[in-house]
Amino acid sequence: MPLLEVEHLSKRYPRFTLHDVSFTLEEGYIMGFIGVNGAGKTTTLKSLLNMVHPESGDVTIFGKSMTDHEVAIKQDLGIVLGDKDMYKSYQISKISDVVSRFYAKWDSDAYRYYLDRFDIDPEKKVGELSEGMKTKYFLTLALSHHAQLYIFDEPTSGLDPAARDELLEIFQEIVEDGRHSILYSTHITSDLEKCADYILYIDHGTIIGSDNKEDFIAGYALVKGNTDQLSERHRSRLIAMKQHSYGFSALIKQTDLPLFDEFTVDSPTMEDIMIYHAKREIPHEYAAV
Amino acid sequence: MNMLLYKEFRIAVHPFYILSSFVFAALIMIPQWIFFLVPLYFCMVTVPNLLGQYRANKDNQFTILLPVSRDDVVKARMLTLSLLELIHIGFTVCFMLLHHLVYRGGSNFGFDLNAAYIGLTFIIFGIFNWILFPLYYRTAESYGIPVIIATLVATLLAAVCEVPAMINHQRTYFLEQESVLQLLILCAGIILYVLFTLRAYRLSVRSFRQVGL
Repeated sequence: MPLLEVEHLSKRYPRFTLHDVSFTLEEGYIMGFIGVNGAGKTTTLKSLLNMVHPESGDVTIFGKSMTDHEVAIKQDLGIVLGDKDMYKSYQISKISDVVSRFYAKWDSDAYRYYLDRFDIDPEKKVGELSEGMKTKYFLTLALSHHAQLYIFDEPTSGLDPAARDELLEIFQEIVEDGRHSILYSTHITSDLEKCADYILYIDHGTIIGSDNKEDFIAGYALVKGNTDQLSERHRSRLIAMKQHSYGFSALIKQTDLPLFDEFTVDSPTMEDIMIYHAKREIPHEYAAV
Repeated sequence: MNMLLYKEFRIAVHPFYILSSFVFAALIMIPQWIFFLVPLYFCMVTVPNLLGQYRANKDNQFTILLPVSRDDVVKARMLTLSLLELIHIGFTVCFMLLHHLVYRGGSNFGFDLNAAYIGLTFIIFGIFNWILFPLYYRTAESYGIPVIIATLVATLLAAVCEVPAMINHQRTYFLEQESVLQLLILCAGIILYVLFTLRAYRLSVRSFRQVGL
């Protein structure tokens, strides 16, 4: 059963357009939402949480329309967004006391477990925590009320490698029972390699790929060769190209591979796919208005 | 809704705001003072400070992630401010009674402290809410212009009440003598306060539904 279904979500800003975003997240999976800074990850997450109002599109969570059942749906959502400077001059225990009252399934034992696991002192003020510790604190709140779907906006940014690894381990533990799912945005590609079943790739406000991780990577190829070998036909198929003194390397779609049989072909990493997409020119129809 | 109100008074509203209402109301003990400054201090000091604190604490971003509706977020914040207004009026009434005990009646430079004064204070707060909240909820962040406009209108209303009393006390003499009229003004003030605030709530909810956070 899909926990999250997003259909044709569009939002237009003066300098940015979220263009016809559609994807589905099934029960029991982790979906990594990837894109460079400003690609539209946060806008997408805020749109599906009704924080910003899309011009068109439907969001269905747990089989219910988010527009019509927002309050009931949020009871079963664990959310951490990018902004963690909320009520920073207040003690953690005070904030937690307030938050706990809103959730019917608040679990004090789970709360204490994650406080201990993340080594967070509840007597500290939010503002006294480092950025990484703030992230851990807000994750603790999100993990303490038995949510079914977790939506995290760049949860690993600001964390040291050990903490990142631990967090990704927790993500795996959450989905282990096959009933919970996680959608998390990131621009750290190594996180996805460690911990994502599905990849949702956004670029300039447009979803350019939504697939399981292996198929997503297999959908691209990295070609290398001499620039002189490139005909206009070749060039028209390149997603983006890097030129250097000994030739070029470019990202192409796997389906275009037969055209490039005289070139050296490599498998790209997730990072390659992201970097080359970031270098490509913006198609006019998606450009800022 | 109760949880939202709990949140407001547990973390959003510092006890200082209640203390400040007590201090402002205590100014009533100044003899021959312009007593309509008491509600105006709430408009020009308490409200911008409180709205500024909401913004500094990123309260909208914090609250909207909780399992609550946007309408309830507006309702809770407006109820909080209304409760603070009522507390402010409550302290004003206490000091008004103390003023009469200490000074044993006597004529004032401006509008006298009586039930009509409280009724007119309700009207000032009602109109202040009616202007402030719908303007504020166009963004739910920027409060400068909404507070300035609402406070200017409140000041104008206070001036309309005070100035005639200062210029020619005879004109407001009937308000000092006619206790029935005073009570009528008090009742009308309470009703208008409720009506203006309810209207402000409806307009604010409509605006806040469109705000991107």
